[in-house]
Amino acid sequence: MLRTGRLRLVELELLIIPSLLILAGLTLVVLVDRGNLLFYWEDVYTAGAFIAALLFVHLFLTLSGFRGDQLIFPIVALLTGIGLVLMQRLDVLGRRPELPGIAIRQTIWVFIGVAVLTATVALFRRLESARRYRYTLAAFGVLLMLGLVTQSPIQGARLWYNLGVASFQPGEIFKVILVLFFASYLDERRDLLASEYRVGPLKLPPLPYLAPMLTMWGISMLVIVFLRDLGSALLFFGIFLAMLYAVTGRALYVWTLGGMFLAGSYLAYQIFPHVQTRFDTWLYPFEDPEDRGFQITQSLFALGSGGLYGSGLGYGSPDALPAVHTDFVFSAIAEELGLIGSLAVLGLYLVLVYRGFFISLNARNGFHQLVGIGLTTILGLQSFIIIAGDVKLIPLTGITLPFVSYGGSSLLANFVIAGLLLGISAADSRGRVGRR
Amino acid sequence: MRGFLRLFAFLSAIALLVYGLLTGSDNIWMLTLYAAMLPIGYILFSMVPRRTVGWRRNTWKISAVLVVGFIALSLQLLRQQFIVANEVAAHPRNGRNLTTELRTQRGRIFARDGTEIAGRVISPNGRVRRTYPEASTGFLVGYYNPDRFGRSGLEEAYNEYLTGERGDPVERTRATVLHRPPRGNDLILTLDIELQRQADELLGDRRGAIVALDPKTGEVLAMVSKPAFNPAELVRDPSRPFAEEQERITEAWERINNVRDARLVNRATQGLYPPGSTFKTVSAAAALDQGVATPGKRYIDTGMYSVGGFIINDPNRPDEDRTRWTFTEGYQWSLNAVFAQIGLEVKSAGMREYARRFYYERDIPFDLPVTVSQVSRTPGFLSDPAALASTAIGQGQLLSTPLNVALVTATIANDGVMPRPYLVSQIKTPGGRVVYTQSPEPLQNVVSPEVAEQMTQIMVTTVEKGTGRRARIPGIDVAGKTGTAQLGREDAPHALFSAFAPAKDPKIAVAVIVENGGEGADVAAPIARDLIEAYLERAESKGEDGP
Repeated sequence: MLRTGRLRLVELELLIIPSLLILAGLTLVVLVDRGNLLFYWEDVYTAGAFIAALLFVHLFLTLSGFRGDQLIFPIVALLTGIGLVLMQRLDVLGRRPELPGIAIRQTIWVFIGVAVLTATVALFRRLESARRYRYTLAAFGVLLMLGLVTQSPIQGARLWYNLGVASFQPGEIFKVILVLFFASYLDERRDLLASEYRVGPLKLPPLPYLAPMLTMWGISMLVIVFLRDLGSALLFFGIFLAMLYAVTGRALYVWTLGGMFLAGSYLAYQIFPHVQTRFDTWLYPFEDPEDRGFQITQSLFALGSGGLYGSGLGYGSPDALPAVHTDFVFSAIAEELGLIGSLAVLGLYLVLVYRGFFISLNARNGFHQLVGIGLTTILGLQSFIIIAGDVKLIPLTGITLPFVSYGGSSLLANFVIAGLLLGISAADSRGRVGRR
Repeated sequence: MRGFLRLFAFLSAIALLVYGLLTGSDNIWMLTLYAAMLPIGYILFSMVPRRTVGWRRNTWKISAVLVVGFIALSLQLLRQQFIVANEVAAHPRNGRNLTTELRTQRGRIFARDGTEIAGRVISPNGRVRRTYPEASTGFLVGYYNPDRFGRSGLEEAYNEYLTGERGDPVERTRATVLHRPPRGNDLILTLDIELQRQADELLGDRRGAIVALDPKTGEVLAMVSKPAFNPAELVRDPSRPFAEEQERITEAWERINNVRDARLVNRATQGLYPPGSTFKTVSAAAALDQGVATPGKRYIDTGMYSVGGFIINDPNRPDEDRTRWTFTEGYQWSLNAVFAQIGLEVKSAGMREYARRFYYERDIPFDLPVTVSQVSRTPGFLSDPAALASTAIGQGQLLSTPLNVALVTATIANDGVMPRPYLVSQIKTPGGRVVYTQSPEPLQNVVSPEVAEQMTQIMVTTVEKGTGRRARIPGIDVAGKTGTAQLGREDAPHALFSAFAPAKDPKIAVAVIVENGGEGADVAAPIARDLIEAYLERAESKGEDGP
């Protein structure tokens, strides 16, 4: 029998919002397309299935006696719902050849993602083995990334494995592996924090820190050079810096490594024309609005045309943007939902990040603390990098907006992250979930 | 101390951001935005609770950095989506503007009696197509081709009203919020469509311009410029294949843009012609108004006049044995020797003063772009007596728009007061509410009513018995002046005629210019007569029918 203490009422109440959003959003898109108010029950099948999936997760968590965080899942559901509505909108009303069919594929990935999230929570105890076999895990991750060199670049970057029916983006899973590896590695060496290493007048960090620092810097630089993927390099390096800082509290490390990263980027700017183009179009997009500045100027037009209140769902022209379903999904939101909508989405990520750090601070186990910090940094930093690229705050890079952008690898990785955060929020010091 | 530092950091961040927003440059704004994040970061760091230590404190700081990033994002969004949003969205490369424009139910344009001269057809898919049912008004309305060539004429001058951007903000907002296609406002012109058609026909294939005004109100009754173009040729027919239509439009565009024909120039307001003898109206009015001459004053004319060695020939005397002519006769027969002397009497300052009163060298306010008429090109030109004398007879460096010629005549007709010319009298919202009205306004007191009366008499005589005989209409006193602008030996001269009628109660003032037409008396005067006669006849029959 259930005791009322185990009911997850906050979560249930909050889940009403994504349920209404998907119902209203998908219906609206269909009606805008149809041009009248005729309504068929088929129109809400997808929305109904999504709501059922949300209820399934909620019931699973409740019935399994899960006592963890009640905010994470509703926020994730809301962001996913926004993404689904947007994919439906682009699919039905978009006029780009790559858009038809994305809604159904994204929907399927969301259902798989929900299952993955449930499985992650259910199997959370197994995280211990990731800790134990961290080197195997890291080696697997690095191999996955190295294999990308064999792939031919798409739009100047090597991000995907082409698997025929679908393509797989190893960077998405690599970032989770990175977090797990660093958390395990740094957690074991916390005590070394005090020790220092002197070479003449120089105070160097202890070797257990120095080695991964240089390795990580090297990996990031390799990602820039061989995969030509600035966004991912920045993300990987940012995750590492955040976790290192969380353990050591040494601002000096951050400044030094940050400076090295900048220096490396500057070198890449000097050597590689594609990096140079990225920077130039960032600073002077209107000098070549037809060709190289096309993407960013179109994104700025979308933001400006949206204005304060937006054009309304289905009434804008976000399909004027190339890669609107992946890189520029935020600009599409900003155009159709306006400043109000774009700030609301920013707010959602902020609450998600806040919740992630809150969970990390309350974790019962050093490893979990660091995993939480790392995963939360992924969510915060990744959404920052891509949104900042869309709004011309930093050079544009091709990474995804967590939970919203189109793409299976990205969705699955993000659902794993959400599942891990849920697990951490409920785990006791020995990693067991639910009996805290 | 800490509170003070936080306040200082906050204020400096605000100052940086405000400065960045005000400079308007994208990159300076980004720089100030980055710079402002430092004090904001300081504030957030200083807010970490003191009791939080170790890795917890570090985590707080990491989250603070992320929050700073999100604050920067919000500020950038605020700028791009609110502060500079309209500016950015108006960029010509933004395809959305065209999409909106193609959906906009552009306002219609009507003649004064309600005849539609620019309309619209809305297809079931919401696309709006412009129609131009009146070929005679083509150049006046202008073309409208949003996807390639833009706009001209009234379509350009009143674009904001026609699209609805100006007019009724409530209606505009309602359309935006409800996702209805924007609806534009209708223009109602002062144009008399029958007179317009007739003027268009009378000029026919000849190059030139006709302007007809109501001299008491300044309303433009007809305005023709030839060669003209039909804006309908630049409208795409959606029922025909796209590529074919594009090709047809490109061809039409090249024809319209042919440099030799200059069809896009509205000759009535932008064409500069030597006014020839029609300028004698200005010289004569100046002399009478200054009091240096009276209609009965006598002048010697021996067939030529020498000013400082410069000979002005006078081939216009009807009787070559007669050498003494009055002021009135000088105007009536357009005697160059007489007007050379009148010019010298008016003096260069007076000539310029009166030319300016008649709106030479000044911008004439109008609904369409008007070129400024010219007295002289070289500075100090008029101080040379020979130049002054040839200016007085309408030569020298004078250049005048047909509209200006019509306004000079209208001034005499309107008791010496130049009326402000206008073409658009009303603008109505789709709901029928009037949002713009132009009422008759005086533009300038040019000469006294007495002088205007004297000039009217002289001009009536000119049509009765002088050079303007071919403009006579039985039973109506027509006041007019001919002009023939010599262009050199090879080209035929421009033929000019300007007139108003009836002399006692003027209802219409006309200026006609036929490029290379020949003698004004033979070519331009009959056109003016036909227009005046038809207009007055219709006005009379309407007056009998109406109240």
